[in-house]
Amino acid sequence: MSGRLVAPAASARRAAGHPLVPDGVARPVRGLRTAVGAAWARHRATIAPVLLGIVGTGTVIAGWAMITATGLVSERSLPSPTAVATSLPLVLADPDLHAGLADTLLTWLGALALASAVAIVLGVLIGTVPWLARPAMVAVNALRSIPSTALIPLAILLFGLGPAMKGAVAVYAVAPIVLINTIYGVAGTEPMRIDAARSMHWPWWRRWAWLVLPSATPAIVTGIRVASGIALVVVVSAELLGGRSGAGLILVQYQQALRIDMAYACITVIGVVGMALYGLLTLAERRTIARIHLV
Amino acid sequence: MTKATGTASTTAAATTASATDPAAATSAVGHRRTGARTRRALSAVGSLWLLAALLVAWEIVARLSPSVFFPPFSVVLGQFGQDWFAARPQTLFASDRFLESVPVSLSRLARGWLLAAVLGVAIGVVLGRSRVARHLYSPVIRFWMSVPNAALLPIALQFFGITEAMNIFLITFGSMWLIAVNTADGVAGVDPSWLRAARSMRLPRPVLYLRVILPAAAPHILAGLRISLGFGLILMIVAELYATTAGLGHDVALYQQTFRYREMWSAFLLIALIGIALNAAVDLLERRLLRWQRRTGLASL
Amino acid sequence: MDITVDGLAKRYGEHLALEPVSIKIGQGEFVTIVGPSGCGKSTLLMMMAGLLAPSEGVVRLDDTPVDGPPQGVSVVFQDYGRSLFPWLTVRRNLAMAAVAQKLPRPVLEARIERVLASVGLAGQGAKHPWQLSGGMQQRVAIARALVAEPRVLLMDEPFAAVDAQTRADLEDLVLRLRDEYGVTIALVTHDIDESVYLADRVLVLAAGPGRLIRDIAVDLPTPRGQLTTKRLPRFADLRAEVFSLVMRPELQEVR
Repeated sequence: MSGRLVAPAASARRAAGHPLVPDGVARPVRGLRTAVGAAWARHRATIAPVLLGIVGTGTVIAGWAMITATGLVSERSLPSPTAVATSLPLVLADPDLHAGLADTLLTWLGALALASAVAIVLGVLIGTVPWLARPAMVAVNALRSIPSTALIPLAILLFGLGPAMKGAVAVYAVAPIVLINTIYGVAGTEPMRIDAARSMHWPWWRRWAWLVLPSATPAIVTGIRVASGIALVVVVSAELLGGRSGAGLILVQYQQALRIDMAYACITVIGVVGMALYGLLTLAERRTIARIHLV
Repeated sequence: MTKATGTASTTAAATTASATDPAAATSAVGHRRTGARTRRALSAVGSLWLLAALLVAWEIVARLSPSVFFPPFSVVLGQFGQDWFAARPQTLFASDRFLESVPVSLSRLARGWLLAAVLGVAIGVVLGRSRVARHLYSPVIRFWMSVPNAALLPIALQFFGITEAMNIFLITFGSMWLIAVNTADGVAGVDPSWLRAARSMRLPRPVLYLRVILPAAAPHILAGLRISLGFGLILMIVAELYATTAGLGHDVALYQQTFRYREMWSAFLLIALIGIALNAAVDLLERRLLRWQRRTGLASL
Repeated sequence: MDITVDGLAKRYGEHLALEPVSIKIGQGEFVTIVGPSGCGKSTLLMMMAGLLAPSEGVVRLDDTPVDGPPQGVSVVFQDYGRSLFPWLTVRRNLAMAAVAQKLPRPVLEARIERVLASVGLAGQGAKHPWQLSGGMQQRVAIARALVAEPRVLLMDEPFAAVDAQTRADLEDLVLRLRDEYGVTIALVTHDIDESVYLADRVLVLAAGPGRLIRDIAVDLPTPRGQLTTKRLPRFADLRAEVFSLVMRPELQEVR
């Protein structure tokens, strides 16, 4: 078992002296063929999931079509995918749905913005007072333990059937989540950095603007993203239960008019909108956190 | 859609609180266990004052500006005792009204949520173990996760009518996708060293899944279960408000429609207490099952 | 159990991680594999353990080719914190290693107690790994490997994560266990002293691409002792030889 009797290549010597490369880890080798290979691999990595996603969704729709074709389930409960697909343009062209969706989304956005603004201000105030943070968490957790939808009847009493009712319930659902995340984020500011800021004689407003808020931002943004999904559920619930407007109401109208195929198409539209909103918020969250971590 | 940060935040707050507590540093080693317990009890009482203050504030405001919609807290408390309790040891002091509503609602929630847990974890494990399955079905699952699940109510009604099955379907379908996604995240993220060790020991499949993969993914799975319980509660109430003949949500709707606002508030209080109890139960379960995670410092924020 | 490594090589795409290597390890032998970072020593061990598929060549145990983790071979991994299961007690961690053998309960329990005693952890079975120090956790990992009563023990830098004092203790423990259980051992390390102190034979690997450059028989007297062995002039010679190979392989090869 003797060594080779030739001097190894210079590259080998360089690699041997490289302490950071662990055993068995492939090191990139430069070269035209590998560059092409890498490009192809990158290509495949982005294309393959999309293709697979389309195939997977297709199998689900095919399964749905098979169930309806066998007549196992009545057309009146579960229309076939083709029936839903043909009524989709009808639903998409329905001006009532446009107005309803706009109403739902505006209420959603307004509630989210209002609740977040209030919760962030409150949360920053509470979070900077150490003896207040824990009692505040306990109080908030206790007060929000009523599922938000249970308060819809009360909100109807207080605000009537207009958008304010939906918004109020959504604010109740959202604010505690953002508040808790803000308190947590603010309280979690690295103490050493606060000391450093003190030693630089930063005034309180600069400490907040430059240090406390940035370090709390990831937690706050995550809180808003989580809360947004719940807010949408709550707004739609309120519309089902007695709102005077909104996508939920349109959905109920389709169902009551026995156009169940249109109800399914409507849910598809609402779902796609929800997915888009969720995707946007996740993207915004990732961007914000990435930016904060760069600082 | 994760409240995992919410979970982590409470734990983090608890640890920072004890870290800054000077009593913690001076407690004798021999009495560490009992000392920690007393300290935890004391700090729990100490952190309740703000809640108490808010309840007192409610009382004062409600007395100063009387409104039928907002009875004072003491009145609600009195109503609460009257509505839900009876001097009957044989039913554990529960009133007839309690026995008519609470078991109905809780059994719906329990059945719907447990079914969602079983389905969600099963789907999540399959997705977590297979990248192809993940790519195939993640769009569909993300769609179902993003549909505001209350929107399924009219369709569930069409499908099942006003039945228990409708309630359970809504709760299950509304919470299982979140559990599935969290489980898939957890399973896909299991430390490869553990899997390699398991492979070198030639563990049979059932043991591999039950003793290695599921425990290792437990932090994510439990976070999913906790959030989905909140969603389950929301959906249970919506379904009961919308179309049922019994249950807590039905009670709330009935009191509102018959102008019995004190009773409505007493129902709110009961629902809140149930919510707190359920949360505490999941908390306890999490603490028990994830003791290893906190001790090994693997619990990440 | 003999281990025959025949022309074993590993490449990742175009990159050659390990040039073809051939080794024979006899029954009861203690072989250490030493080399700088990136020489493929862990890759070699993982292929011997059947945990990594070779690109070329074959590993044989006696005469059976290895394809997947074979029976009778146990592995001790470098990072005990990530190879022990923190959610199980020490005893259950150990039991996991013997699940595949389907032993009757009393036999398994007796075996676990015996192994715990021989690694110096008697009475610690009910604890969780995180209640033990790093050195003790690595003892648990070694005990877990022994519970399956292997005939071959493969160890991947098992002492890299512990302090020097603990390391010396564990080295002597492994030497004692080799005699007690009569296992064949292959141990990967980057510590030159350790490679000489423990081994009957030292295999020296070089990096870039990873390859075997020397197979040194260690003719030090047994039993070894941290003081007695390391004081011998022969130990110093061997140590120097391995050292120069590991640190300056190119000089040695052109000799």
